[in-house]
Amino acid sequence: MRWTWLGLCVGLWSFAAQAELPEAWDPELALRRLSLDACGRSPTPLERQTGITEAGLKEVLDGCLRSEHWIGKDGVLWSLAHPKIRPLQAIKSGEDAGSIPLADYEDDYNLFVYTHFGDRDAREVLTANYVVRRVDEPSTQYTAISSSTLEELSRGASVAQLVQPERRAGMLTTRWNLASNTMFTAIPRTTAAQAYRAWLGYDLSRYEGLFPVQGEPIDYDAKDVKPAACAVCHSTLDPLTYPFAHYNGIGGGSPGGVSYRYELSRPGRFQATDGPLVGETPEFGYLMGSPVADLVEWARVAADSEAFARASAADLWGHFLKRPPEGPEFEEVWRRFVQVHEYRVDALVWDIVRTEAYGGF
Amino acid sequence: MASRVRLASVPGLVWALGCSAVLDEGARPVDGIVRPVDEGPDRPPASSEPPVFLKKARQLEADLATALVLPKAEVCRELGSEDCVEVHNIVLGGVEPYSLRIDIPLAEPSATTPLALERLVWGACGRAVDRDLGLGPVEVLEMKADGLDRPASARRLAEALLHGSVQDEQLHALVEFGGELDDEAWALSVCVAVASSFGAVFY
Repeated sequence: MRWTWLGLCVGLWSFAAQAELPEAWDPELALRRLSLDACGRSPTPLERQTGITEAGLKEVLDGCLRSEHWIGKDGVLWSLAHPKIRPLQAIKSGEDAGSIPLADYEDDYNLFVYTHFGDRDAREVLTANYVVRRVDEPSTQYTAISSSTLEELSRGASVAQLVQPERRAGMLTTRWNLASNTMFTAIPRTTAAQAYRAWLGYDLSRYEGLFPVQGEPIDYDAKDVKPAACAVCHSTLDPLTYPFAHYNGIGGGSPGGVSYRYELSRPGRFQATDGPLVGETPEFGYLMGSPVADLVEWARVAADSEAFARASAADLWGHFLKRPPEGPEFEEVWRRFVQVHEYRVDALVWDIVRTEAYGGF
Repeated sequence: MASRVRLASVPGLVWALGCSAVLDEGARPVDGIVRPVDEGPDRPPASSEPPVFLKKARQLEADLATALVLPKAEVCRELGSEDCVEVHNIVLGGVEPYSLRIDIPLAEPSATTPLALERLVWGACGRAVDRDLGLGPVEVLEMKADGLDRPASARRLAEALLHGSVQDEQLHALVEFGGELDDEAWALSVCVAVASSFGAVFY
C-alpha cells in the first residue's frame, strides 16, 4: 500500500515537473533557436541528429547552459545583468581599473551568474551573504566564499566587500551598488528605486509599483517631498528607501564614516546638510505594502515576492523571445518557476524552450 | 580581389535563396502538402510577433567560422587589423555597457545593419576562397583535375552555410549562376549570396 502511494506521488510529481508540449511545436525549430540563443551558434550536425527528440533537445540545452557563451564573462547571463548593475568602466577598480577606481562590478556579475545556473536558487541574488569569485581559464568557474571583512581586505582595499557578512543582502549591498547608487546621499532614493526596477520590475518613474504608506512621506532629509505632486511617489519611495540609509556609500556626512559598510547611526552624520530630522531616519521601512525591519528583511521579502519571480522569468523570456512577456504561456512559465522549479533558472529555460511562442510553427 | 568580381546577378541569387528560405520558415510541408502557418482562428496565437530573429554579431561570426572552417579571429578584419564584430558590434545587435552605457541591444536593426552584415560576410568568404584557391588547405570548396568542381562546391557551401540540406532549386540556381566568371569570382559570389541569404542570417 505504501508503495502504491509512493508511485502515485511520483506520478503526480512527474506530471507537475513536465508540462505537456504544445501541439504546434517543432523540435527542429526549437533546436535551431536554442542552439543560437543558448550556445551562440547553429546546431552541429551531430546535434541535428540527436536533438530532434525531446530528450535529445534537453541534452543539447543542458550542454549550452554550461557553455562559455552562457556562463562566461560577457556571456548571456552576464549580459542579462547589465541593466541591473549598470557598470561604468571609468570608476571600476580591480582588473582593468578606470581612472577613478571606486568599486569592482565584476563581483556583482559573478554573483548574478552564479545564482542563475546549476542547481541554485535564483533568490540568492538578493539574499546571499557570500561573495563569488570567478576564474576564466581554462574554462569559467565560480566559487562562493563566505569571507569576513578582514578576508575581504586581504584582496585589496579598492575591491574589498566591506559590509559585515550578517548585514549583506546579495546585490543590494555590494560595494559597486553602494558606490554607484548611494554615493554621498543620506537617504539614497536612487539606490532603492534602482533595486525596485532591477529586481522587481517596478519603475517608479512610470508610476509602477506604487504602494503608498499612510503618514508618508515624513521628509526626514528636508527635500520638500510632502506636496501632493511629490507625495504620489514618495509615499512609496521614501519608506522603501529607509533600510538603505544605513549603508555607507562613497562618503558624506560629518564626521565621515567607513565607506561601503553598514552603520546603524549613519543618517545622523548628515544633519549639517540634510537637516536635524535626518538622524531620526528609521531602519525599518515598507516594501510593496509589507513592513520590513531592515535591508536584510527587505531582500527576503523581495526575493519571495511574485514580482521577483515574474521579473526574473521576464528577463529570460526576453532573451529567448526578443520581446516583453505576453500571453498565458508566460503566466504558466513564471508560476512553474516558483511552484515546480523552486527558482532554478535552468528549469525555467527549459520551460521557455517548450512553449509554443518559442518552438511553435 | 573583391573589386574584380562582377556581381550583377548576385541580387537575383539572393532573392532565389531568400524565397526558398522564407518558404521553409513560414510553412511546414506535411504529407507533401504545404500549409499556411495559421490554420485557423480556434484559439489565440501564442505569440503576436513574427517568429523570425536576426542573428547577432557573435552568432554570425560563430556560424561563419564553423561553416567556412576559419578561426574566429580571422573571420573578418576591417582594414586588415580590426575585428569586424568589435567594429560593427552595436549595429549587429551587440551591447557595450562599460563605456558607452548601451546595456541592451537596439530594438530594431539600424540603417547600417545590412552594410555591416555584408562586410562581415565579404570578409569571411574572401578569406575562405583565398585559402581554398590559394596556398592554404582546401577546406570548403571541391576541386577536380581541371579546376573548381562547381556543383560539388555549391552543395558544400550551401549545406555548410545554411546548416543542413539544401533544396534542389537552390543548388541549381547556384550552379547555373555566373558561367562567365572565373572560379575565384564564382566561388566568392556564391559564398556571399548564400551567407547573406535569409536562411543564413535569420533564425
